[in-house]
Amino acid sequence: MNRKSNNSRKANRILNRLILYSLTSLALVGGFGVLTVWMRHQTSQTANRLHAIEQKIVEERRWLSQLDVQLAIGMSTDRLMDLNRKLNLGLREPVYNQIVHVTENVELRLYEKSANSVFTASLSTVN
Amino acid sequence: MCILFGYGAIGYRLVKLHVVDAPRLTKELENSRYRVIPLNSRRGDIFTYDLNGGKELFATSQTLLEVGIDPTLLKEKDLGKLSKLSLLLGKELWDVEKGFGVVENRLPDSQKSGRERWRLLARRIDEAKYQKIVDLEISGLYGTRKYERVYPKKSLASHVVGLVRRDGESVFGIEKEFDFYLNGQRGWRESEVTAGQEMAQFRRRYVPARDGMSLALSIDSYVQHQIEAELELIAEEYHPESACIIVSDPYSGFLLGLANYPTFDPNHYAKFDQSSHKNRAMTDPIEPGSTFKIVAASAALEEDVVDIHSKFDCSLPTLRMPNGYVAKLPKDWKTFGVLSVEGIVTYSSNRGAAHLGTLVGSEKFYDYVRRFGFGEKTGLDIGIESRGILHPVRNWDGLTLSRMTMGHAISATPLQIHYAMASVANGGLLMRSQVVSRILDTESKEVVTYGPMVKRRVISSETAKTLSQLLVKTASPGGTAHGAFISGYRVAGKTGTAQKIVDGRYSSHHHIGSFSGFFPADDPSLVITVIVDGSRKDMPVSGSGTAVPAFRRISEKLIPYYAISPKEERAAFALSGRPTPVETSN
Repeated sequence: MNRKSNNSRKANRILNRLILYSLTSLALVGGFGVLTVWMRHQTSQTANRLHAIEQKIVEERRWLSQLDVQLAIGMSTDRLMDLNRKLNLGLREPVYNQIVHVTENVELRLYEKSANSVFTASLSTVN
Repeated sequence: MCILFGYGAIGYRLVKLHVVDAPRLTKELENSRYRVIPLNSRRGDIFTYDLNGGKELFATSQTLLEVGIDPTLLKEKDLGKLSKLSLLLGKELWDVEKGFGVVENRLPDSQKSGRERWRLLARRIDEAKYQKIVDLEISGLYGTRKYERVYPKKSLASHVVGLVRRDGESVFGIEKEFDFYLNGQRGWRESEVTAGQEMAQFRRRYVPARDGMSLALSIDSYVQHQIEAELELIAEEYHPESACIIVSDPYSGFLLGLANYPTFDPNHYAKFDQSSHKNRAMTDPIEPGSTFKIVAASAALEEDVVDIHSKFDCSLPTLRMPNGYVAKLPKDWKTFGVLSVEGIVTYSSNRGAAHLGTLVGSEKFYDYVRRFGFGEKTGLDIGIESRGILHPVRNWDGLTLSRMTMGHAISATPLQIHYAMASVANGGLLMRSQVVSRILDTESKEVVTYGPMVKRRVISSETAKTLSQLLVKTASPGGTAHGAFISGYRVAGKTGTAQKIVDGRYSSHHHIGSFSGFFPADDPSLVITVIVDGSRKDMPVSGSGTAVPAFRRISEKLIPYYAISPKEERAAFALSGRPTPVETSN
């Protein structure tokens, strides 16, 4: 009687273990599947985010070059002269004979100027 | 049992899908979702640096859009937005409604079943305007982006910069000659697409587009503007057939300005006559006239057959050539008696120049003509360039030498004449003509830097200096170019008034007036050449009457701009940073 009950207990134990292993493996496979799906989803999301950033960069660069063009058009000589005329700014180009060219040695000139002032100062002190 | 059966069924299906049917299914999926998405590269910019180091764009690329519609997607609620759309597109409302197939403010029934899924509505819409169009949220409205070339400075330096057509083909100028650098490389993405959107996670290969490199020119936009304004003045007054002005730095050979009349706006190139696209300074050879006398004078001085005080009887109507032939000499513009070499150059005596040529001899004179760069290209890489016409000595007749010394019997491009004068200005070196100073990558790092390139020594620096002194007298009170005199500055230069050949004969009514000069003569900062082909209306075009005043006006504008000092030493800040040329070849 005891031997019989012992045998059935052994069989139950094996069956229980089998069920446990099956459930564990099912949970593992399921978990692995869910993990894979989640990872794929993350990959896809990251890829899409990168793609969006990429697009954004392209768009920003496009706007920048657009801005460069607008600036270049706005600052062209014709346009600036036109604005000068329209806004009555009265700006004129310099004329060559308005310029005074310093043809002598600049350092020497400055030295002489400072020396002159020292000399004049000493003279005034004496007086 | 049921569980096992279920497992079995799932396993079978998985094996069938992933092993047995996998190749077929993968292929089907690839066919429906796989795409190679091309990526356009952006063409590089063409720009110059101003005196403060700022960039000035001459050519750039911007995206423009073609706006089109899918008429089948238009909804009733969008009909009210079509009037705003027509305003943004700059079109009439009926035109836009026609595009959508709208009749009497309602969608026809046949619209939904229509096969046409794309209709062009407008071309060349800029980004800002397109954004406003997108904000209207009209169903079925799409834009296709495309890079197009824009020239913000319009016609400024258009012959130098060149042109890229709407179809992307570079036609001439720097755009064509430097296309290899400017163009860049297209890239692509191999990926999967669904509902018109790329599924980035399935991207397989990504070859990024490589944008084109940018070119920095030596052209100065202020100089360019001044010479183009001057050409406009000349055109208004003389109605010439063509005219050109060239400005360069004599020591480096870099061009600071090159302008032609007639000109064109590359943004609207189709509206201009094809002949206005020609860079005449490079393509159209002309008889140089008296500006060519610098060759005869240089040759005679360099060969030591004369000094500046040697005297010649310029009243004689004939001259015995080295081959014994007695050539009849053309009259001078005024009757001269005995003139020194100095007088021949200062008063531009044709007969005197013939005397100088005879002393040098045909072979040697030809050699000097070649050394000055006539009969060969200047090397300016911006398109087709003429070599001019220079016959070898064996093809010369008895008159050729006497005529060539005064600038006839030879054809030269304005650029050749300019660089011949520049070689006198810089002390006897013939420089290679250049306009591109740097090539930069997309990060603005220099990839190639061009420096001055000496082609050869033409004459000794002593001869160049002597000739400069003679040319100063020419451009001083009493000389033929006295109108070029600028108070306080020593200007050197030579006028030329060449008769044009009309119907096979020299015409006394059709002339080409020219002046090529430099200043300050002792250490030149600029070489300026003005050439006016005034044959159109029999206008009284001449070197001294037309080209010299233009030279003077331009010089007066450029002196304050470059802070050119009248003193003999070069001002420290004028044209600073340009390296001194080093002779590299013979």
